[in-house]
Amino acid sequence: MDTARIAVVGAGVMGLSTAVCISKLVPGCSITVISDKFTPETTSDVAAGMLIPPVYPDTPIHKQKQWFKDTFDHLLAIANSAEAEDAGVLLVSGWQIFQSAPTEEVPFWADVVLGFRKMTTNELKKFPQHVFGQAFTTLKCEGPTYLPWLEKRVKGSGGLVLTRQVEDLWELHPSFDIVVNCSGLGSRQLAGDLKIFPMRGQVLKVQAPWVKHFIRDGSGLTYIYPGIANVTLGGTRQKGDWNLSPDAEISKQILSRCCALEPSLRGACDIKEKVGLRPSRPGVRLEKELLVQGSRRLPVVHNYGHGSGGIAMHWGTALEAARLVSECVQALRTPAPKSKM
Amino acid sequence: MRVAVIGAGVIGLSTALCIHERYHSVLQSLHVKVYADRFTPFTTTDVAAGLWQPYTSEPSNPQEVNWNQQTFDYLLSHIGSPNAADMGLTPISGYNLFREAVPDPFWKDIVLGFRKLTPRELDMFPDYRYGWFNTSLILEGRKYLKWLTERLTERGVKFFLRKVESFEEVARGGADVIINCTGVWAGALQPDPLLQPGRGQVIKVDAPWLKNFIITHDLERGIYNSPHVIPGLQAVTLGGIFQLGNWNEMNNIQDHNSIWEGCCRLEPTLKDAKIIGEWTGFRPVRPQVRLEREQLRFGSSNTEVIHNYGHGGYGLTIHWGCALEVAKLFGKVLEERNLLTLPPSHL
Repeated sequence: MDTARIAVVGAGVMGLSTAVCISKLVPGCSITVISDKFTPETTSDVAAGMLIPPVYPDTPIHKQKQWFKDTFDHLLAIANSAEAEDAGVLLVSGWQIFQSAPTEEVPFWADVVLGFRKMTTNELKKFPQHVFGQAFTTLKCEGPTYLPWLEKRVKGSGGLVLTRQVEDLWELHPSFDIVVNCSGLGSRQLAGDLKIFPMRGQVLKVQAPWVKHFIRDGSGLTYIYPGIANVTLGGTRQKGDWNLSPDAEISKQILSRCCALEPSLRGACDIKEKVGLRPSRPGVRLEKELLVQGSRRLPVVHNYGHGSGGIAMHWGTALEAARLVSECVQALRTPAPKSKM
Repeated sequence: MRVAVIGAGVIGLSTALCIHERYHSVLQSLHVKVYADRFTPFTTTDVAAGLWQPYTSEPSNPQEVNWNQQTFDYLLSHIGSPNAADMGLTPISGYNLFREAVPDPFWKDIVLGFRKLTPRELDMFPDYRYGWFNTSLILEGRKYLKWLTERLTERGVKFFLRKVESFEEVARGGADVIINCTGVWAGALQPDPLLQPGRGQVIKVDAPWLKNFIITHDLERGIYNSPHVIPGLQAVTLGGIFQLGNWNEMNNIQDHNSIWEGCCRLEPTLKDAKIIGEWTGFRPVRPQVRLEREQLRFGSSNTEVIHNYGHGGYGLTIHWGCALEVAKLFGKVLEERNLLTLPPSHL
């Protein structure tokens, strides 16, 4: 077998970045990204894209830190280059504030972001309901711009892009040698994984260009994330809720909570409501699996279940997934041991 | 009591407002008029990037430190009001970059969260080896002047587009007290060899992905003669020109190139930014602000003049502290003239 034919299922941030990493790491392969949804209709398009990672209970911390660091370094280089605007990546400074002192004052990612420190008493005066805070500079990576930028890179290295709804991974056999599963919530069906569930998030995207800092309540429920062309106000975390239609009452509450943190937002205009279903799982599923059906074999590399940390962890997990794909390609190219006579 | 304020930049308008706020209710009558040959958007204030930041070196007049502090605190007290952005006001954080280690500035405890830059932050700016990070404020000149004008208009203050040729002219027109806020052109009313133009040129661009200010310092070339990138409420101001003694109000192509190349080198993401406009202004440079009373005699009457000019490149930064000081001096004038309403006496 000369050219390994690789199908990447899913065209959110995970599918596209994994495809790019594979094209760089694995020589002599053809890559096809297959998805029913492409930007701007993926979950990654709704996310604000702030690099403030969540904690996955079932993934070792050192792994999460490595994934986050790989992603941060990759995006920081873009943010400081002439490509920043085309890629939708920018640096933002701001504050994460807590209404009661957190158990962990210094999170695992404190030395990955820039200039992390505790807020001073004077800084906290701006937030009278909050008793503790962290100040740092991090990155924002905006799906609607980043995904097309990634897609260009996939095609630039010879990759193909196909719009199609995959109902069963076996559909891809024997046209493809290896399947990379980046289907997020789709894995409930495609991988029979009931551990993954939607965590519904509703956000508002508004015009408020005077807001230059991010503000995030430590609970993660209320946040203000200024971006290139709008400010994202959030949010909600509704477990098991599949409803993609915005709820007007929730929008009012989000606006109210955010105005409490940043009163100047009362002047925000051109408010757009968006809903995304975070592909939540106790831990990211990032591993190889060999599907077997009779005499048919289909190597699969899973890379899904990033919950609210998709953008924050994408490049690190994509690199690791690409390494796993490389192992699969090696295994396919190694001649099978001759049977003993 | 008739007050004539000459000048309608940030100094003139804020001083007018400060006086009116403090004395309107304690005087039998207070008429304030503002005379200027330039109103927004044609004042020096309109050209400024609008970042609150004094010079890095200590001022020769220690009072200026207090005036800077008072201004920051006053502006900060408006953060948290829903109207802050209407005033032209918003918090902003950013970087000051140097080629070698320097002492901390006198304003390090005035701004918020002042700290030195970490090595990874410095990696982002390969031409620089040392720096600071802090949170400060943007006070955008044009929006602020509009807001001040609205507040003054509500209070019945009148504005006159007029080139004042002499203090005498204003005194004979009936003014009891003249507040001289003529900025870089103060020399036309009274020669002042200490006052010079510090010509600046700026390019305003559309670069909404920039959220932090970046100010570089070249200690040999002097303040503001090194590239700086300062996001405003909507546009981003690129600058880095400071030419003492240059009265040329036209945009200069060499200065344009110098700003553009310097800022693109500092912030490569600017290469595709759309240019919105380019402006030239004259910072009213003086070894220290002239803030003092002077009595002038025209005919048989004394006219009080309170000078408030020469704020260099830190007018927006120091304006409110100076306005408060002028109001204090004005109060003394009123006392001397027995004009303040006395509390009712016991009988």
